[in-house]
Amino acid sequence: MERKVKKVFKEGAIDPTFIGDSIAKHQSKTDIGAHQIFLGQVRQDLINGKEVKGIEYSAYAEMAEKEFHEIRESAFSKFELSCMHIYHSLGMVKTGEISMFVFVSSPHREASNKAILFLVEEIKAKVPIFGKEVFEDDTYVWKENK
Amino acid sequence: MKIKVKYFGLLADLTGCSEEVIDAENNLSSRELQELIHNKYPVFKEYEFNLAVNQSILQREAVKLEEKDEIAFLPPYAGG
Repeated sequence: MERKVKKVFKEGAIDPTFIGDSIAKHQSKTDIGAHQIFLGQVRQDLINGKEVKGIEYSAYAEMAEKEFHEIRESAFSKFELSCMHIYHSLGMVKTGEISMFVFVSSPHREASNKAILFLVEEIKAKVPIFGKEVFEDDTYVWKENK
Repeated sequence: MKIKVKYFGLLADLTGCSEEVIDAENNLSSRELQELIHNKYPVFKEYEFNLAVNQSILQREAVKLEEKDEIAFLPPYAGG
């Protein structure tokens, strides 16, 4: 079944209450036996003696939405999942705040355990999202996924 | 032909624009476009990037470009 392309990007940080509400919404889905959640948090890296105050994310949005869709489809075909939600920030996210929220659910733990690892690695490798690590003095460097 | 080229992240910093229209010969290949961009922005040689045509990354292959194609130069990703 072809699923519709879901909206992934959110402006600014992902609010922890949004994450809590998302979990609560799954209480009615009683076929689920396991959830896995990955939260990406902006780290206060020290680069050349300067502390990062946040990351400003931008993206090639049209291609990114397409890649997110393909990654979702691929995860649904590889693993026995009940549902999947992916959110990523655009714009400024301060250190300590959440910039990515990946949430998978399955009847049994193995599928969601494997799916979460697959999803996070695929997103980091394939989705055209760019990030400036901004310092206290507003200078910046471009971040690169390792 | 005229082709619209988009630049993202670090590459947009280097070019000073997020997109521009390039005048090129008809039947330009993706490889020729890369050379053209390298000549226009020699600093690109110092950086790693990928070329996406119609939102798909080109691996090693060279393709013929058409005016309607969506071309984008993409620096390394930082999502997550």
